[in-house]
Amino acid sequence: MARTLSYLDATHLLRRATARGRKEEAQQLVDVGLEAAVDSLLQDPATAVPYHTEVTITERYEQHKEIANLWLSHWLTTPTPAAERLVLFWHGHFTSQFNESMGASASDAWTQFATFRSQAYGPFSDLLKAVAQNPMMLLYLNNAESRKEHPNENWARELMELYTLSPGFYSEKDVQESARAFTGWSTRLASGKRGYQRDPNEPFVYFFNPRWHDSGPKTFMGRQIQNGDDVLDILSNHPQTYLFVGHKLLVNYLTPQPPQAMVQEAARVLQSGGTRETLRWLFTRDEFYSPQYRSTVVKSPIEYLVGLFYAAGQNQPLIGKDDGKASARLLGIFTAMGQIPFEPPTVKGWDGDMNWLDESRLLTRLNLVSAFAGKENQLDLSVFMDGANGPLALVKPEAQLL
Amino acid sequence: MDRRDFIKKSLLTLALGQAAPSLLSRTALAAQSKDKILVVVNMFGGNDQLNTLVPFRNDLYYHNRPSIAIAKDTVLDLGQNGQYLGLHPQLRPLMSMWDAGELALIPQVGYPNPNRSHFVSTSIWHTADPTHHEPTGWLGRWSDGQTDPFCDTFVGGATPQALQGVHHTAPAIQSVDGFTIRMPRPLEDAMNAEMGQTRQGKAEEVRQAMLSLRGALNKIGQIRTYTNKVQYPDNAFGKSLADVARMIAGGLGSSVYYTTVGGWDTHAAQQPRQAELLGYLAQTLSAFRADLKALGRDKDVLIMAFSEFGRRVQENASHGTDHGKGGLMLVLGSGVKGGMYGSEPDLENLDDGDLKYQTDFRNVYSASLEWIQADTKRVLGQDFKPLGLV
Repeated sequence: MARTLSYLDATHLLRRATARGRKEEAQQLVDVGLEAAVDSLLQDPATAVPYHTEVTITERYEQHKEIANLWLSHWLTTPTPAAERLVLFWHGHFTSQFNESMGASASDAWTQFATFRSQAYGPFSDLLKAVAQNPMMLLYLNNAESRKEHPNENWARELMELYTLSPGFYSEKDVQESARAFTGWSTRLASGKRGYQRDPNEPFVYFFNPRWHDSGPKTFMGRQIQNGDDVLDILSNHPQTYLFVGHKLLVNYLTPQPPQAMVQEAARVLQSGGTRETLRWLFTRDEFYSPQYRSTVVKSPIEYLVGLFYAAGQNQPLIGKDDGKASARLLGIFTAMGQIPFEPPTVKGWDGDMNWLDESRLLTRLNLVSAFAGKENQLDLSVFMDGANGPLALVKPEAQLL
Repeated sequence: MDRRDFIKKSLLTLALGQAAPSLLSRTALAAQSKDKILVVVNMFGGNDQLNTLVPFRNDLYYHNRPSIAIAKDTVLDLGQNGQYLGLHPQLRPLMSMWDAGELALIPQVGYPNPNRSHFVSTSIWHTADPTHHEPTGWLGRWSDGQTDPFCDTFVGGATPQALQGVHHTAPAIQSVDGFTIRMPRPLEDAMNAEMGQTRQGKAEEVRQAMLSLRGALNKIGQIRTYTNKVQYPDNAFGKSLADVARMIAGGLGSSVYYTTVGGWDTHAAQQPRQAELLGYLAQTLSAFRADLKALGRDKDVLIMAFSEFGRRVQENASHGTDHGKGGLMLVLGSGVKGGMYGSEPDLENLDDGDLKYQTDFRNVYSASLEWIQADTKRVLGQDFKPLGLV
């Protein structure tokens, strides 16, 4: 027999899974029952429209505004919004900063998001492999230029520290040896164009340069290895990888301090079944709906804005008039709130939780409420927040929570 | 543990002052000076010491850095008392301070068992705990003994760990001019009503954040009328220190101001990037001091700049440098005893390719804590002899 889902629990599920929703969508989830509701949320992601720009390769700010708009529009209109919240999660995990990757164009950043989207729900090992050969990442962490004469350690170090194991589970020697293993993992343009002649619409592709690769023997975590694939295999089979990433998934989807027993279980499901199974497991657990875990996750600025736009019935991320300055205004507001799409502040991503609500950031969120004054009639806050009782509810503390 | 050991341990605990602070020490803490001000600049990313304080008379330096070394004829020579080292040409605005004996340069600063991770190392600097067990920040622990919620201020988006204590976290003010609430009356009234109603769990944490925002809005509103007396460079760091000067001018009353300037993680194409950042740094510090002089407060302010580590001695294939260990600290102000606090790095005797650390950063922190008359032992957990900077 299908498990039932109350309306109140449906709003919680929809809010956590997708960061957007309206009353009728929550009601649809109630009508089909818990399992079918979770299945419908976790279906394969709809693809996003390709990025195409008319600006030149050097107009980076224009490109940045364009992809930020494109992504927010996609999140607002896609039939699979849960995938977009997960894309944001992977973006904050496998970080790449657009403005710190001078060789990259917005098409590279957009292609990286397509990779996050298509691999979002699958086995972590597949996603890790795709990220390791993703041109945006190779450019951001400088592996694209790493040669056997002087290996660049940036990627190798962050791979273990931030993307898989976390500190304490590897040595400096492991960093140096794996950096050697990844030498030659590089990028190129199929057209062969270079520098300023480059068409910003042509993304880089992965390219293995055997002349830059150090083919000598290497020892990584006590094992003899040859190349970067061996490093990724060892990391993909390491239980600590799943404890670390599983914990992070629960912080994003359950509570800032998830109980240890649930972390263990999430890690087990993640390693054996992949990310979709992990989310399915979580969303069908009784604990997920317990009052202690409701409204415990602070909305990130992107989630806050997506939720607000959607609640107001907007299918474009528009604040104020559509006067040609709207996308600049949007990026400015994201900057003030502390989360710029395609631009994590550091390679560690965003700290989240109450860090989102330090004085200046919280002030920006509250001042934004005025932008929705006059749209009270369209505003449906029933999924956006707990305790919504009309447009004035936007100034309640609960409005900041998922 | 037998009984005698237990007693010895207990006495030791008392002797180390780990028991609850006595009434006396509480009173002493409350009497801290409001005149002296510490400004901390966190250069996040790992500034490369060797291209900032350049050993330009050492051939090994040029040998290790064939493509990114600073050319000999452009280095600003610090002379004999600068251990024959020189500054990066973009630091020219600091030369008058060096000549006046108001700039202290502390090379090869670090801590035992150096960590090359940005985040681990930053956290060690912020908590002042190389064993990485202490959750609170060093200035957070200082602020826990204070009563004024504005005893310290972070100028930026989100308060870093250094300023997080158990009971107190510094307010984060991104900019003085932008810090104002704009909301129609009915919404503002509704918000004030909501803020009066206690809640449970995370919603209560959010309500507390809203309350502290309201307090900060009142306070910053009072200093908005103060304007800078000099022109600052038009970049984020320039704006931050311009706002610090306004906060000092307006009598915000913080003993500590803290801000961050990022971008120092130069794994690739280091030369132009680091030059740009060093230029921002020097021009802004120079403008800030001129502003303080115009306010008559220059004598009260000590500025301390640090980065979580220095960088590898040998350049990499991307014309950059990877994460290293010992790095450079700068301390400046008219109350500072300028000079070189350390020696030219030994490029023949490296630690896995990095400069060995020579000075523990907690000895420098200790000097900065003395400046604001803080209980250094209580903040740092043990006695660190202050470097003789002040």
